[in-house]
Amino acid sequence: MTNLNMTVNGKPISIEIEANEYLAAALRYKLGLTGTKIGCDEAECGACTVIVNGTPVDSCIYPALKAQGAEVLTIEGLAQTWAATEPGVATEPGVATEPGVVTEQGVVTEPGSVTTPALHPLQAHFIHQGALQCGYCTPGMLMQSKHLLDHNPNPTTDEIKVALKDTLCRCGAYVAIMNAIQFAAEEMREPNAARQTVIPNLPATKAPLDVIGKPLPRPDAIAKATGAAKYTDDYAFPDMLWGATLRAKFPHAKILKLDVAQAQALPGVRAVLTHHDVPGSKNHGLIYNDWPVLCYDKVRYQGDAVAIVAADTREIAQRALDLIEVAYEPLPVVDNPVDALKPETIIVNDGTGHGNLLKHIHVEKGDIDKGFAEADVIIENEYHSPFYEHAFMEPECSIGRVLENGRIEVICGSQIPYEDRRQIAAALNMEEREVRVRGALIGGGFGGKEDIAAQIHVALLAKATGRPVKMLYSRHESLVSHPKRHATVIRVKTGAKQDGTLVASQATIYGDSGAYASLGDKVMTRAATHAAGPYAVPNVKIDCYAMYTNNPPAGAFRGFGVTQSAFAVESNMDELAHQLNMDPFELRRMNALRIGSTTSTGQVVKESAGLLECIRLVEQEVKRQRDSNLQSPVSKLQSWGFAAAFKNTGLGGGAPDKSAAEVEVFEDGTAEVRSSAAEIGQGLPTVLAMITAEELGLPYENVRVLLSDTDLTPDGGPTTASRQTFVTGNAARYAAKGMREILAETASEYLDAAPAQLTFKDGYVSQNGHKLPFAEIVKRARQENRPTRYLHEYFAPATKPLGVEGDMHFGFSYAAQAALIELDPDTGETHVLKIVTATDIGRALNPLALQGQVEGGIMMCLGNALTEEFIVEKGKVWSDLFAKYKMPSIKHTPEIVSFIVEDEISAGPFGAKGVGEISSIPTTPAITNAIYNACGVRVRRLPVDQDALLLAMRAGKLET
Amino acid sequence: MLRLPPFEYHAPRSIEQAVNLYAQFGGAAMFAAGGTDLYPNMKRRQFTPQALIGLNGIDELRGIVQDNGITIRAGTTLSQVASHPILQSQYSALATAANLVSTPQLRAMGTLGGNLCLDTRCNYYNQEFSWRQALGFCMKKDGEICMVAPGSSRCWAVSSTDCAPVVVALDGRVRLVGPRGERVIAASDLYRDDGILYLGKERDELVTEILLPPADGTKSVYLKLRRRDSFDFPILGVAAALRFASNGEIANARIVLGGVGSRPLECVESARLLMGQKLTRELIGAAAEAAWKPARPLDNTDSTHSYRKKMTRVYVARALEALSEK
Repeated sequence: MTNLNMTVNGKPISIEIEANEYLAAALRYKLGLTGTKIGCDEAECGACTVIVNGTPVDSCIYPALKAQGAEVLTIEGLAQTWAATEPGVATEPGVATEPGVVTEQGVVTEPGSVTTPALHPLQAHFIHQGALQCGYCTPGMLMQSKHLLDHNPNPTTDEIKVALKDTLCRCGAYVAIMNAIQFAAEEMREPNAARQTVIPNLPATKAPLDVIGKPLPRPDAIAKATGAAKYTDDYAFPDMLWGATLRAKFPHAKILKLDVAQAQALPGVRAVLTHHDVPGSKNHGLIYNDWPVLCYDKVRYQGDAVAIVAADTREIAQRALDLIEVAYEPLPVVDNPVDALKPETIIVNDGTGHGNLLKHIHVEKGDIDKGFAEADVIIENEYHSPFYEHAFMEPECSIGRVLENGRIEVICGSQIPYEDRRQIAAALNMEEREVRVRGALIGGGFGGKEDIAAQIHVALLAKATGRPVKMLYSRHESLVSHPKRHATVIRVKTGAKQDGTLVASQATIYGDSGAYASLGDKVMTRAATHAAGPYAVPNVKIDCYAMYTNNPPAGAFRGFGVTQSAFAVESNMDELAHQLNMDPFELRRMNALRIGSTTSTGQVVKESAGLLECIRLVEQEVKRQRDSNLQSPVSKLQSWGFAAAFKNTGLGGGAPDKSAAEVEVFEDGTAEVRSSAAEIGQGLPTVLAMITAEELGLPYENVRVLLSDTDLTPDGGPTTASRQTFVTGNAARYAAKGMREILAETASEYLDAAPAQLTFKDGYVSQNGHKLPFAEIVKRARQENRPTRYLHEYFAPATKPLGVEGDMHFGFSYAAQAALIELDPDTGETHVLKIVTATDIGRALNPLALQGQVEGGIMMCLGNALTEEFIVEKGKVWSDLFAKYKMPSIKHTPEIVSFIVEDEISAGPFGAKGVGEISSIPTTPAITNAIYNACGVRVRRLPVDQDALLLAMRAGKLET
Repeated sequence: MLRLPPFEYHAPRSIEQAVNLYAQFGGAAMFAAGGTDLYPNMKRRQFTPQALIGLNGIDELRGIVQDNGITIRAGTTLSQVASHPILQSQYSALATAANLVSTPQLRAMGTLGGNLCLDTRCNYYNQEFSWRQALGFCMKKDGEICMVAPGSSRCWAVSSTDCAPVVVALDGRVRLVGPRGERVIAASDLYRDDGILYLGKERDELVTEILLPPADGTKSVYLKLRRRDSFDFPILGVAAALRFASNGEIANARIVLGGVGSRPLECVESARLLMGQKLTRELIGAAAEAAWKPARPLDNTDSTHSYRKKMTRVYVARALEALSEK
């Protein structure tokens, strides 16, 4: 131990520290300054950036002792650096000012500063521009931005891109981040100048109601911008132990021997558990119970958990893992779904009783042979897509505790808290009521936090030791263990008449679902049902095989299988347009789903189908841009590409899709809305607060949101399938309506009017000029012993299983996108210059949050098309570091022109349907179609391989 | 989360102290300058030194001094190198290369000396400990064989420093200080064609200074190929330096490649073709063609080796075109 003296945020600090402790750990675990986040732990993501003696450093690899005598600035001290330059202002945390009313697109009528005294201008503008979503990268992003502005008070967009190019934001809020930095710079240059707050990238949307439709900042934005926001690893408890997991050594092997005696004997080790110590269900799983809590007979992928340890320190836990003896007998590795289906192949997992076949999904409509017989043109191709990684910035973390009455509490970042509770209780052989799952804030999910990670393990260890146990995955562990986006092989055959009318669409899809089912059969079902694209095709036949292999499990990932099939279908459609010598917009328009169309699964589209309008808007904008660019000769390898897509909102397929929310009102004139539904950065609390405020006539700030605590909040169901705004949004809306009716009954006596005639607005209840404060009504309701809480369990419109006539889904969102790319003919490198997008989401409840989802989806699938690939060879993960998983950074951010189509859906809250996934789906094929238009080579394999592309171009080949 | 293995940390105040400390540990210590590559590697247990000798507290290792040419002390950070006006104007390839290393945060920590001594890299070597343990260790650390070329008796890990090809192309020299005194060697002699013993200095010698000769009108450029324009290491680096005589003929030429072998690779034939000639489109093509041939990247970094080899020709041509326009 050495004494470390430094100044942190202006305060002198003296702590005892080991030489191998690094600064991020010292700040977080010794000083409790948990605003500094650890994303990759290897200086590859920038989340841990702090400023040491005026220089930004990655504190995750900066030995704490190097800061001896240094001045360290963390996110917690950022605001005071600004307050110090502005004499007289308070430094107590304040509340962000309400940004006022939108008068026209993007302009908010508020003169002067948006900075409250307790916020640095960067923090304030990040909040108001929507530059933070999950918030996990935000502290590092802000510190790096501060350093930029310290040295360059007026940075250009390019300068911002250089400064922030290695500070990653997986929510993809880069456009908003660039705008926020420039507005902050402007305010810092001229703090007292009057100015309007403009949100430049805000799309035009319908006129707002009192609250709904306004670009309000997130309720958790201040906490996220100041470092006060708490994610799981930010919690600590007295006597807490550190847990660690022994992972499989081989992708497929029999366990011959498992000996933990030496590990148990290591001083400081408090528990070493194996499958023998799992008292209840030995397996877990969201749909199929096929995933061992701790492996017993064999291991099926490299990330399989074999044993777990709890120890006094992380070092001891790590050393204990090295002392566990496991003898394996390696088995043949099944590394692709096509081989997995062959009868001679070894069975990896018999989870469904069909060998390696997790599920065969069959979609049939009309007569496929007749359809192709009628076709004048048939296009048939095979497409390949690899595994992809969510790369959420916050690695998985769970804390297990034994509560006083013997119950078990697990704190974690989960997309499905009630499912966690069920699975924890089953494994521990406890009743569900004996388990409490508390959701912390989640640093990104994108589908990757739906399955169990360490939740059961910490519960087991806490129970075994009687002490709190924390497990925080390293990035390596996160990458090798959690489910991925399915790798696919998709063969698509598209038939059309000479005039472009689609007559037949056939597809065979192999999905690599890896070692365990996760949500594999649902994901591949969505891939199959969307495999004819957003078009009305009379004859359809699709066969999809979701297969077990020895690769990492594949499960939910933004797009849910549709990302893969859309790439195949939209590539075929584009090729068809060229064959027929048709405008690609026109071909899509002719065949687009519209009111009265029938989908591949036999569902008649009855309402809310804005695809035609999406296509029209994108076409109009692309043609306008093309025309206006006529003067400047464009390089011959610059080209536009186009694609369209649709995506279901909600679970569908006959699954009861329900969510519950509770609204409680208080005598201080506030309300709280509660539901166990996850906020993963997408903005659920914003939407729930807005809906509740609208229905109760309260100011937005007067509504608090409590999410994801199975003791305190009712079940909101999974955060998946773009469903939360619709389903939990409706639950909150009906709960608030129910609450309002009770309050209206109370108020009607005092205002001498029928309850239905009362107006709830701006915190008052009124009728004919008479009004009472909302708070007063609540007070009187309580005096009258009326309920002040209202719970509503909402059931979405019923759906039908695949193969049964009727509606498989209660709604779809639609999108059209065009990409302008530039291709370097000497190197094969592709850059996306522009994306024009139009998205039909029913109704924009909050245009700011909506735009964040649109831009983030585009950024994610720009990576899907060009840079990302989760490389697995023979079951061995190669992409086991962030540096080896090449997601786009701010430098890849194209110009994004976004249109919103609001074709309302009658059952949706204020007409809204899902947006989380649809925004990302057309991006990949729009880019690859643009590549074809630029160089004449069809991309059949993702991601675009610039070497292969170059070879094909040189050799005059038509595909790669 | 990954933990740094335990070590002692020493913070000497002078070069002499640093070198003496190193000698005391008899090979069990490592020098740590910026540590930007060292610490992540330690977390993955590529290195488990008993002691680290931190060089940040040594004032005499910092600064850029103009003399006959220019002397850059080894502890100067990469951001200082990138933003130095004389380096930017007269040795611009070096400022460019320094500015292309990893991330802004790491350039503020990392030093020129550290970048020149950067550990060689390989897909099999730069992996987390448990990954290497599961697959079997390679000869560069804890193992016996080369995973890239299993029949090979040597290690093929790749020199991935951006600055080394530039310093070699600029005819730089480095000053080494060790327990046996000090010496100055040519920058090209700082490297060996071996993935394990990749440095041509003794382990106990410390790089203290980088000496560049007078620019004397030499124009230089550095181009870097990587998958994304983000923090990735170079999968190809091209440093080119040309001095033109008053009649427009090339009086001196050096082209050095990074990222294609275990050491910076000098394109001798390309330089020979350029000498005494005027830089025409045809000559650029011929020099690029000549540079392409000796480049022998192996399949052990990002992107395919065939692509990296092909890009050698494109990037050398682009480098020379950039110099013809300067």
